[in-house]
Amino acid sequence: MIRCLFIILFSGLMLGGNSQHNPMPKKDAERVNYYILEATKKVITIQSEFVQEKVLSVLSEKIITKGMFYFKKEKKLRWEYIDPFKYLIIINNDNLLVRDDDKENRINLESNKVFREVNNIIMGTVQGTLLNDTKNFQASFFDENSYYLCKLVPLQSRLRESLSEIWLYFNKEDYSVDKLDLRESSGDYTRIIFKSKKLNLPLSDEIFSVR
Amino acid sequence: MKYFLYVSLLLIIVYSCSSANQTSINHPAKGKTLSPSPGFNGNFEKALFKASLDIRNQHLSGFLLIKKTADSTYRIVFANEIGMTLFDLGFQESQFKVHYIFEPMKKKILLRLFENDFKRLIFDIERSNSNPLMKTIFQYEGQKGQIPRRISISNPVIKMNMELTLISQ
Repeated sequence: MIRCLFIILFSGLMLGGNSQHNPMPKKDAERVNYYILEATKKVITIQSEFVQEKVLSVLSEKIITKGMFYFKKEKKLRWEYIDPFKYLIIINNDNLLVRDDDKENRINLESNKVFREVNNIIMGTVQGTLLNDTKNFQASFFDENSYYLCKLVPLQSRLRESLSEIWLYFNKEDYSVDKLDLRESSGDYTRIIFKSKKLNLPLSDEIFSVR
Repeated sequence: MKYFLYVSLLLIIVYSCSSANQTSINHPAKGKTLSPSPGFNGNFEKALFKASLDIRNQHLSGFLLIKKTADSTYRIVFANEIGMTLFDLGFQESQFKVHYIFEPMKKKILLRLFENDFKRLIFDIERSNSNPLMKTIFQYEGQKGQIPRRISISNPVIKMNMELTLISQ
């Protein structure tokens, strides 16, 4: 009897352990996906601090950078590194500005085929359809303690060469992303952790100026 | 939504690195007061730099980590600001190994240049060759322990210029 109980308990633990590594059933994944899309629709602006950790597994090194993130619907984004160096990326509709210490780079995202394709992806993603972009990504969902984890595998070889998987950790309360991992095939990854998120605060267009 | 945009951003940065059609506005480089002096002399553990790399009309930037591993190999990892590895190279005095290099940078001449220049930087040795293409100018500024605060590595023939500014060690 005790032996039976032990086996049942042990199998249960094993199953419990495994469940974290098995994708959620299709129905549950669709439900989570739906709530994420619904939450995304309500977002007009985002302001958030972020911490980025570049983890070099072989070298046992973690390179930490910090900055601020701003977003305004439909297509305005400011991604700004503050510490330990300054580096700024702004997307304003079809224009991209990248500013380093003494260099500025402006790109019109409509100027060539590759950027046009990327811009089309942005258009799709602003509507929150990346999780359902079956042409470019294969998505699977996992129930991971306090998160719903969505793993995206790029289907295009050009992107897959640089990125083997993208892991998005969705908060179970409000379905916003608390962190994301960009996984490389080497085992190295970059983790972005969002902190002090503020949704739908008024944000001036000046923040997104590319001039 | 931000994660979608972040991923898109990554795509743009990845593609813009490999595209020669970008319109770039390059301000003149800051005035330099660099002077030649010895490099690391193959005797240090670790250094993290802010890095920029210009090759012809391509501009890449990010951070560069140099670290000594347990088997005394030095690994040099260059990643852009958003964390994407652009190259990961291993060096011993008589060995050179490419662990990873971003596909558009996978050029024989560039790898030879990296091998030559980084060996010279780390071990203060030059790969013996008489190829004038490999003649690179090294300049150093300031010193923190054994590590120069600023390093400039330039090859006017290949039109390659790398600027390193020490962040931590």
